[in-house]
Order: sequence, then structure tokens, then C-alpha cells
Amino acid sequence: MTPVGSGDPLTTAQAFLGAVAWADHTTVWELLAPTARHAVLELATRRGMDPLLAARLREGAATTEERDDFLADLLHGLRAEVAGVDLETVRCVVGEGGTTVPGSVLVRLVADVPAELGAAVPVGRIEVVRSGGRWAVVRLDGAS
Amino acid sequence: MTDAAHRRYRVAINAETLALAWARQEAGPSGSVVVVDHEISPRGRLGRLWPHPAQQTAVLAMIWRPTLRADQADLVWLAASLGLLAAARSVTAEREMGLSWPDALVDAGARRLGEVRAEVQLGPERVTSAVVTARLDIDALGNADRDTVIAALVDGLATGAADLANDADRTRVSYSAACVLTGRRVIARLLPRGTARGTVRGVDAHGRLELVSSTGFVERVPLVGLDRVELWP
Repeated sequence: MTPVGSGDPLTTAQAFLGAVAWADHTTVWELLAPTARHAVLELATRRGMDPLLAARLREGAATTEERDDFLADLLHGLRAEVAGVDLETVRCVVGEGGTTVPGSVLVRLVADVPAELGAAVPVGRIEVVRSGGRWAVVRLDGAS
Repeated sequence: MTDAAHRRYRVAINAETLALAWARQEAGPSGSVVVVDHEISPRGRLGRLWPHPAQQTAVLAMIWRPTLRADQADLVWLAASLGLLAAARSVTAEREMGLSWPDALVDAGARRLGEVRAEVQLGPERVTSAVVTARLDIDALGNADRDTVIAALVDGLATGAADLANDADRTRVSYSAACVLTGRRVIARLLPRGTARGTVRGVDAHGRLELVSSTGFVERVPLVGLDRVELWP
């Protein structure tokens, strides 16, 4: 079995986008880089999550119910970022280096428009980084 | 035709409007039926127009007074849909039909043969009344006689109401079994925007569509937030 996110920046970004769209909640979590998971849990704690629960989630010791509740909120947040994007037609294009962590790569999400209106329109971006022998997601930004 | 429980009109804005007035202003009893031969504005869920001409449409609205909690209000749509399905099956012998959540009756080719709409009135924590409208495309049912179809709709909706009153959970289970979406991968387009995707498991105790992801995550789509459901190619 191929480890999640073991491919390249493009396939990792596409897999992440697909997992967000199809609510493959554990895949979304697995595709996040450790720094991104840490940032998500830190933000959740600042917003009122029990620090002990955050610790259990970080260590993979949370119950299935705790994990699913948390990942449901995470999914909703990620989907809000791409709520205006038609995920059936959006394309991923590898771009320049990212800025969140050293060595990261930006994968741009672009939507094609009629030729007379010009080039494809950027609708978001996914930043990925090589971490622990695989590519993993650092952040997802929507254009809105 | 007008009696204590049935009123028939040649032309009206739509059957639902008249039944709602009957329910609210005259305390129309449960089971009261309004039949309209020609609706000027035949509107279904989200105000969408029924696409078939009045000449090939059988439509009625029925007043229900179900004993349901407010959070079970959407079960009325399911019970009405089951009544519609029963009515359609009783007037055609062979056609393969099923329900498409939340409001449609479709054939094997996903062609829309009928629809329901439920206007539910809520009181404190409970449903006080509902007006259920059901429409069938007579032509698609093999040019069945309109009055025969109307009679079948009356029986079907009355049965749907009775089954809902007897066992709401059985209505949910029956609907899941009759729904052509069950087991299929779908995209639910939401309002005002956004989507939910997954494999349909059925409907839950609140009438929401249950979508399961490949990792076992369950999302529940409420009727109120739904634009439409599309089958994944």
C-alpha cells in the first residue's frame, strides 16, 4: 500500500483536495504535515478546545468519537476555504516556492475560463512540503 | 366535487395554497383533500415549477396533522414520497420506479415522474399541521385516467400519513429502501453554496440524507440547506 502523500507535490495536493471534497477525514489528517497539525491544534486550543483533548489528538490517543468530531470541524473549515470553487473542474498547477516553511512548494488551484476572457483564473493554493520522506500539506488557501 | 373532506377546483393558483388556507382559516381536519385540475403556478420544493403541462398532470394537496416533534418535521417529506410511490405503482403495472431524495419520483432512467412538497407548520416544539402536495405525470404513467390517478394519490397519501403516525422510524427505513440514491455516490449541492459528497447510506431520524465517506465519516445533509443532489458519474 502506498503511504499517503508519498508522491509528488501535485499528486499530494490533488489527493488532499479530493479528501476534503469527499470527506475522507482521516486521509485529510494524514496528509497534513506535522507543523500543520500542530498549528491546527494550537488554534483549536486557543478557541476553547480542552488542552488534554488536543494532546490526545496530537498523540493519536483520542477516541474515535473525539477524533471524528474534531476532524468534522477541520473539514468544515477547509471546505469553507474552497466553498466557491467548482472542485469538479479545478486544476492543480505546480508553482513557485512557498513561504510558510522552508523548502515548501505552492500548488496553485486554477479554474479555466472561456478563451476570450484570458488565462485560467487562480482560485486557491495548497502549500506542500517534504516531511518525513513524503510530501505533506502545510496549508490550504482559497481565493475568497 | 365538494364535500366535507374533498374540494375540487377547475383552476387555481395551486392546490397547496388552497389547502393551506383550509388548514389555517377553517381548521381543516387531517385527510382533507384539495384537487385542482389546472394549476396556474404549480410549484414544488424551493418554488421550482413543475415542468409538465396541466393537461398531463394529476395533483392534489392533503392536510396532515401528524404527531411529530419539530425536529422530525422533514419526515413528512419522506412519508409523502412513499405515498406518491404507492400511488404511482397502483396505476401502472410494470414500470420500475423509485424515490430520489428529497422530493422526486423517478423511473429507471432518472426521469422525473412525480414530486411532492410539504409545507409544515410548527408550534412550540412540535408539528401542528402539514400540507402535502403530490403531482404525477399522467402521460409517463401510460396515460392513466386522471380521476383514477387522483384516487390513487388520495389512498397513497392517506397511507403515508397513517404509516408515519404508527411508526416514524419505519417510514425512514422504508424510504431508505425505496430511494434510488441509496448505495450510490452523489454530490449534494448546498445553499447558499458548497457541496457535500459521499455514498448515500439512507436517511436518518430527522429526514436528513446520510453520506458516508471512504474513511467512514458520516455527513448528514438537511433538506433545508439543499439545492440539489447529483449522481457522481
